[in-house]
Amino acid sequence: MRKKIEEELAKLAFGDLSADEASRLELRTQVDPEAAKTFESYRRMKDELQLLGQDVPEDQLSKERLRQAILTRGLKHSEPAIQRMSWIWMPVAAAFIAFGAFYLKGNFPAGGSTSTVVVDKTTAPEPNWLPEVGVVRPPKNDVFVMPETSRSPVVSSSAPTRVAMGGTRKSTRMSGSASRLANDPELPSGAAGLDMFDRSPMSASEPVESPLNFGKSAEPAPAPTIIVIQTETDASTGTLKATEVGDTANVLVGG
Amino acid sequence: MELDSDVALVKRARDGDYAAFEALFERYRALTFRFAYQMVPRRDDAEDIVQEAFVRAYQNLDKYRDEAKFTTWLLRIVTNLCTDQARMSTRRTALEQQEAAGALDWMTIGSYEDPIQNLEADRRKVALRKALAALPVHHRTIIVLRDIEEREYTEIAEILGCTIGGAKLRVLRARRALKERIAPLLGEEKQ
Amino acid sequence: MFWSAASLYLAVTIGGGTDLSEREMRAWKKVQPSIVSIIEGRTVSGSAALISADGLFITHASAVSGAEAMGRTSTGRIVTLKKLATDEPTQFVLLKADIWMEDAPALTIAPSVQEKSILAITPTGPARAEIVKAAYGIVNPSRKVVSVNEIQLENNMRSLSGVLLVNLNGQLVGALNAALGMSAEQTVQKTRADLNNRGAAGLGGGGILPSQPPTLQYGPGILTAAYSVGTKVLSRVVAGFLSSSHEVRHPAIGVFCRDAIPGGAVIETVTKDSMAEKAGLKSGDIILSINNRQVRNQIEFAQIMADHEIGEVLTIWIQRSGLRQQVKVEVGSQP
Repeated sequence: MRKKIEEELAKLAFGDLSADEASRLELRTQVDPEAAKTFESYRRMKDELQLLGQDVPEDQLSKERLRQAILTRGLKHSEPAIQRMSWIWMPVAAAFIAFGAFYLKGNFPAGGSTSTVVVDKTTAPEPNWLPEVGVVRPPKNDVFVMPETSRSPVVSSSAPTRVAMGGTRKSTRMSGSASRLANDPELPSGAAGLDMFDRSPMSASEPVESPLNFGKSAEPAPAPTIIVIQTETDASTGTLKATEVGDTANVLVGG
Repeated sequence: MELDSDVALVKRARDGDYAAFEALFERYRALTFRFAYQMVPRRDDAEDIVQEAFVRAYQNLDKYRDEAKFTTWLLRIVTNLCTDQARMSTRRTALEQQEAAGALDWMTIGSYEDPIQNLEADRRKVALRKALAALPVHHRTIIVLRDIEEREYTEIAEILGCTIGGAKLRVLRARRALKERIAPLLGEEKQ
Repeated sequence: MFWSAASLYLAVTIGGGTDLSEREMRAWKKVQPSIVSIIEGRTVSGSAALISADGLFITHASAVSGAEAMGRTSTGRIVTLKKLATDEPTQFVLLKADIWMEDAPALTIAPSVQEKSILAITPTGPARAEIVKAAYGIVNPSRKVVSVNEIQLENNMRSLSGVLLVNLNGQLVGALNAALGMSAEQTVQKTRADLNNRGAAGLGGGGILPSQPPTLQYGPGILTAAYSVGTKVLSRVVAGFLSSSHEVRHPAIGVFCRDAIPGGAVIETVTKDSMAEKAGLKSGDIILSINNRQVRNQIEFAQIMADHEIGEVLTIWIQRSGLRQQVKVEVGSQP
C-alpha cells in the first residue's frame, strides 16, 4: 500500500482529517478491502492507545522525598552565593558574584558523572617495586583546567540521591555545603571569574590534589565516558557519528 | 494576577517561598506522573523521573518564561529526561526490551468484566506496551503526547521545541512506526 | 564596576524577551565579523572562523564537501574559500579566502575552559550551549584517544553541521566534531528542509539573524549531546594550520593497545618506523606506567599520551615475558 494512502488512512482513524477529506476517504474504505483493513488496524491502535492512557497506577510520590532530594543536592534556590558572601569586599565580590551566580543559574543536570579517571588503589594489585605512583604533575598551562588534563576528586555525598538515569550516573553532590561551587565535582574545575580574580576563594584547589587523597569517597568513582567517533557522517545531525562505549574492555586504542 | 495561579506560585517560589513550589508539585505531580509512566511503564522509574523533573524545575525556576504554560515547561523537562535516559541506554535496548517484557508481567490480568474477552484485550495491551517501549524515544514521546495524553499540536510543538507542522509530521511517522512494530507481536500480517 | 556587574547579573537572570542573554549577545557581536557562513547550494552548511588576518579560516569537515566552498561574511560579501588542509583525527579543515580585505580580528583559541556556558555558532545563528563534562573520544580509524568535551544544546532542531563553539569572551573553544546519533528514522531531507526554511531568510541580508520559530527558553532541557575536542587539542590543530606547512602533528609513539589483565595496557601492534619501534617496544609488551603515572588500562595509556607533547622523552615501564624493564621513548607524531 502506498505510503501516502496509508498516512491518510491513519489520519482518518485518528480524526486528523477535515470533514470533506474524511468523507472522501471513508468512501474509499468501503470499496477497497485493503484500505478498510489498514484503517481498521489504525482505528484499533487509536482506541487501545487511549486505553493505555487510563491504565496508570497510583503514584507514591511524596513531598518529603522531593524536599529531601532538593536539599541533598545542596541547592537553595535564592541566590546563595550572594547571600553568603561578605558584603565587605563589595566591588570585587559583586563582579565576581555576577559571574559566579550567572554561571550558577545554568545549573548542571544532577546525576552527572565526573568522567575523570581516579586512581583507586583497591583494584589491581600494585607491583611494589614500581616507581612511586602518586604525585600528579599540575597541568602545564593553568591549574584551573577542565578535567581533560587534570584530575578532580570525587566528593561523596552523605545521602546520595539515586536517580534512575542510565546506570553509570550517580549524584555525587555534597549536601548543603557552604562552599558549594568550590566542591561541586560537576563544575569544570576552574569556576567562573578566574580571568579577573586570581586567588579567589571560589577557585577549587582540587585539581592539583594527588589522586590518591580522596579515600573518603564511599562509592567507586564513575568510569570516564568514552565515545567512539566514527568516520561517517550522521545524516540526521550533519556531523560525525559518535557512539558511547559501555565497557572499555577490549577496546583498541592508538597512542 | 491571581494569588494561586501557576505564574504567581512560580514567582513566589523564585523569591524563596518553598511552600509555593510544593503547591505546584501537588498540583501537577499526577499529570507529570501519568506522562512519565507512559514513557517508562515501570512505576518506580516513572516516580524517579517525576521527582527529578521537579528538582530540576526548582533549580531552574528562573529560566521559566511566563509566556508558556507551566505544565508545558514541566513536560518538556520530563521529555528531556526521558530522552537523556533513552540515549544513555541505547546500547542496552535489547536488555530493556526484555525488561519491559518482564516488568509487564505484574500487570493484572483482566478486570471485572468478561474474563475471556479480557484475556485478548490484555494480550493486545501488553503487546502495545511492548511495542511502545521498543520505539525510539522520539517516536514514543510524540505518541504519548498526542495519542495517549491527547495534547494539542500547539502545545506539543512548544514542548518539543519544533513547529506545529513538524509535530504533525512526527506524529505520522511515529504512528506508522508503532503499527509496524506491533503487527508482528500480534501475529498480524505486515502490509 | 559594581553597578555594571550587578546590572549584568540582573540582565541575565531576569532576562529580556530574546533568546540570548546580554552577555551572550555581546560575545556573538564580538566574534561575528570574524565568522563566515559556508554556503552549499542554497543552505548554510556551517561556519568558519578566521584564525589569521590574511584570510585563513578553520572549520569542521562537515561544512565543506569539496575542495572549495563559498562563504558569506557578516557584512554580506561573498568569498571563495579554498581547502588547504584537513586534520584527519579531529576533522578540522583549513580554508583560505581568495580575497580577504575585511578588517576583522582573528579569533584566539581559549587556552582552557573556564566556564560551562558557551555559544554554538550554528548554520542558523548563535545558540546557547553548555559544556557538560569532559570525556574521551576514540577516533576511527586511527583509534587515537582525544580528550573531548561533551556539549549540550538547548534546541536540537538545528543541523549540527559545521558548528563552531566560542566562549563568552569570544574565544574559540571547539567545534562539534561528533554527535551521538539520533534515530535513523530522521531523513536527510527533513534536515535539509529545516535548513532551507531557516537559512533562506538569512541569505539575503547581511549579518541579520534569520527569523526562526520562536524558541522559548525552557528548563535545563537538552536533547542533543555532541562532542568537541578539548582546547588543548584545538590549540595544537590551529598551531599546525598556521605553520608554514599547514600540517598538524598529534603526539603519538605508534602503538595500538588493549587492556591487559590484571592491569596495564598490552601492545597489540607497533607501527613501522614509529618512535615506539625505534625504542624497542614490541607487540605483547604490557605498559605499566609512563613517567611515574600508573597505567591501569589502555584508556589510561591513551589519556596519558594525550597529555604529552612531541619531542618529550617518556620513561615507560613495561612487562615482557614476566620481567619488568624500563624503556625510554621519545614522543613522535601521528601521521
